[in-house]
Formats: sequence, structure tokens, C-alpha cells
Amino acid sequence: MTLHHTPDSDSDFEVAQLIRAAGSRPAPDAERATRVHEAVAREWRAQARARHMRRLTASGVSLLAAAAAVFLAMRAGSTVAQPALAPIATVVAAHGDVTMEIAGGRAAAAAVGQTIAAGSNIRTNDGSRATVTLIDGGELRIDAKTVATLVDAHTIHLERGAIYIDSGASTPGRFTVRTASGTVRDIGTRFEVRAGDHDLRVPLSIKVRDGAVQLERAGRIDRALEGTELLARADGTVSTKFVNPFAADWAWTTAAAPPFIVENATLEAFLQWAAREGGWTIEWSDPLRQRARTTILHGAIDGLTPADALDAVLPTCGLSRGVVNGRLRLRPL
Amino acid sequence: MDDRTLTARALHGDAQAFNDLFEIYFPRLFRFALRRVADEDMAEDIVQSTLIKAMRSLSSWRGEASLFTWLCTICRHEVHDHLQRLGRGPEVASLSSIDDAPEVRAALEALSAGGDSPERALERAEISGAVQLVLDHLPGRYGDVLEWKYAQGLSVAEIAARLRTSIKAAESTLTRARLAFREGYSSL
Repeated sequence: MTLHHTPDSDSDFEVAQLIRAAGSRPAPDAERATRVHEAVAREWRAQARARHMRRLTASGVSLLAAAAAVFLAMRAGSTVAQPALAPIATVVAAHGDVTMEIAGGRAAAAAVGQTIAAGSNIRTNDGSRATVTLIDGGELRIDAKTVATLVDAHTIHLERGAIYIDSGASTPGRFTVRTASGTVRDIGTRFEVRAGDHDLRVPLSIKVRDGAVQLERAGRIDRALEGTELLARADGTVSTKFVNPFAADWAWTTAAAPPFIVENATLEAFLQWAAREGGWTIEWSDPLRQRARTTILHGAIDGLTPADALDAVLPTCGLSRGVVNGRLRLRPL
Repeated sequence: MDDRTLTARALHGDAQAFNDLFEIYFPRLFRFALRRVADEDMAEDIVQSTLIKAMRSLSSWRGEASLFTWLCTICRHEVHDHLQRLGRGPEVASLSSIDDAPEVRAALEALSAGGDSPERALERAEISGAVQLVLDHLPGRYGDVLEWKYAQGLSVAEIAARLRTSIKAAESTLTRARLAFREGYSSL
């Protein structure tokens, strides 16, 4: 089907004419909709209850500890605020031992599917990583040897280690990362914040993969753009250096994430995932995009890097790949 | 609100988010199933099973494919299972979709050649079907806003009210929806 590429107003007129001529799409009748809604809502409520119970079970020990603390404090005549338990995030990947501590409670192992309340503290050890999705959109990936607190759905306090934020489609400027050496705000982006775990002279570094972030410290604001690493030194100076969006330094962020589900995914979705995780730009052609949209994949790529996953999947689709200066080129075998 | 946010909220027990998801996807899935089984009662059963299964595994949807594509994948399996239970077996023709329908594409290519053939009325119906198919496959509420604006004649203010958003945001959604429609329709 061809829509002529005339100036926008003409083209918009053409779209309007077509849709007007086609008319409204047939809608299922209201009775049918009500019946299905009731059945599906029942299931949704049952699932929501089950998730809630799992959450309560997981945090039961912590809640008892918190309740005991409140009781003792009240006996001593103090006023103690109720711990904030509103869920603000969900664990979507936990590789290795990841522990979570809810607002002063005892630490418990974090599990996939578990929700996280405001004020929760997350810790990873030498070999563990995790990813959580935030309730208002955006994804937080946590590297090994990290201690971070989810203050609320938009604020993370990074004590040490590294986190990676993909703000996704959420409103730019929503996420704030607080560290001892300054506060980092996103401006619609994917970025890594690393604090106090590698070089005492550089207590804070920020790598920006897409978009931009700004660092606020001691009354000064520095901005870091895409492809930049910003180094905030202990002596108060700040410098920047170039960083490739496809460098090996980013590999931990994929290792922290849930695996891509290849089974029944389109080749297009797989390529978009691989390009996003690898930091590459795909050189699409119309025939390639068409082919990618209609090719359905089967199998699994758990544990593979984006590059290894491409090498495993593409030959099964009759394709090979080359990467030149961050551009992913696909060719027929 | 985008699909990721809506699903995240629904997973956290937000009833409004669940209702929004249902309102957006139930009619589209119903038409998707109906095109394959040509029986409204069967389509209803299929969509109900599809959505119940989707609720059980909603947390596994990560956004690599659109939510509608993910739901369609579940729905295709449900169609297949229903047809098998009835002893009809999988029918290639009945499993067509915007992604895998050479017969639809061929019909539309023939139509684009124009001419005054006796089947002109049928051709127009085919075009209407193709337009509606594209509207169903547009992301989020793009299909709805285009239909409200052009097929139902709603004003931007009325559309903004339906979307529970500002007039400016509704205008912006309409612009993006037109672009998405042009791209989707041109790819047929």
C-alpha cells in the first residue's frame, strides 16, 4: 500500500480520508465485554493476591523485627514513624546472592517477582547482580559489590558500587541518584553511576550511554552528554573523557539483566534487544526489516553476551554480521 | 501512560491500570481472534483464555515486543488449541495476520493497481479491512485516537478527555499516530 509522501497537510488529509472511508472498527458487544472482563479481572485479582502473599512471606521476618522495634520504642515514650511499605519496584532478575533489607528490617534473599517497598536497601556481593523495574517506568540494574537504597520510585541512594539506569519511556528528569560525592539527575538517558569502590582519588564516575545527565555537587553543576564519562575527583575537580556506547565496560549491565526470551520472538525484536544491549546501531534496509518482522525465532540464549547471541542466532536465519564503528551490518550468508 | 507503566501498575494491584489494559486490548484481540475463527462465541472464549493466561505471566513481558504482539502470540496458540479440540486442525488461511498474510498482501497489491473492475465494492471492503487491521496493530492507543478523530469525528478536546490527558498531549498523540499509521499502511 502506498501513501504519497506529499507535504504533511496533504498526507494527513489522505490519512484522514482513508480512515473516514474505512469507518469505525467493529466492536465486540457490551455483554460480551462484561463477561470476559469479569472472568479476567477475577484472575488478575487472584494473581495480585498471590503476589501480595509472596511479598508478605518474604518480608515477614523483617516486619516482625520492625514491629518489635516500634513496640520497644513506644514503651520508651518515643514517637516512631511507621515504615513505608508502598511497593515501588519489582525484581526482574537476581543473579547470585542478592539481599534486600526493608526499612531497618532483617536482610532477606531477593527473588524474581518480589516487589520492593520504598526505603529498601539492596546489596550484591562479589558475584551477584540484579535488575529491578520501577513502578513509574524505567529500569535499574545493579552491579556486583553494590549497596544502594531505593528511597522512592525516582530516587536511589548509592552508597557504593555501580548502578545503571535505563529511564526508558519515562519522563526525562525523573531519576535522581544521590551519592556521598554529589547528586546525579537524568535528562532522558541510559547511564551508569559508580561510587567509591574503585579509586579513592575518583570517588564518583558517571558514564552516559544515551542522552545526558547532570551532576550537582557543592553548588556546581556539570553536565555529561552521550558517549562521555564524567570523573568527579576527591579534590573537587571534574573532568570528562570519551566512552564508547559499545565498549566492553558496559557488559556487566547485560549480565545483570533478565535473559532475552528468544522463543517465539521476532528476529526484529531480537536484533533490537542485541543492538540496545550492545550499544550498536542497526543498519536497516527495507528488505531486512521486512524479513526481521516476519521471522519467528526458537530456542534460548541465556547467559550469552549480545555479540555471542548474534553469532548463535543469525546463521539460523541465513544471516551474518559485521560491526564497524558501532554500526551493526547484516548480510545474507 | 505507556504499556510498561500500565503493566507495572496492574502488577502492583492498580485496578484502573488493569481496566485500561482491558479496554485497550480486549477489542483488538477479539477482532484478531474473530478474523481467524469467524465465530463470535468462539472468539470470546479464545480471548478470555488468552487474557487469563496473560494475567498469569504478565510479569514475564519485558517490552522487547509490543504488548499487543505478545498478546497475539498467546492468542495464536489459543486459536490453534481451540481448532484442534474441534477437530478442525490448524488452517493456514485462518491463521493469517498483518505479519504473515501473503493473501492479504496480494489482494492489496492488486487493489493498488486501480481500475474499474466489477469487484470494486469488494475491493473497497478489502481496503477498509486493511485500514482497520493497521489501526489494530498500531502501538498503544494510536488506533483509537485516529478512529475517534476521523471515523467518529471527535474533537481534540474530547479525545483528550477520553485519554485523561491535556489537549496538547492529545494533539501530540494524534501527530505520532498519523505517522505510525502512514508507516504501517505503507508497509502493507
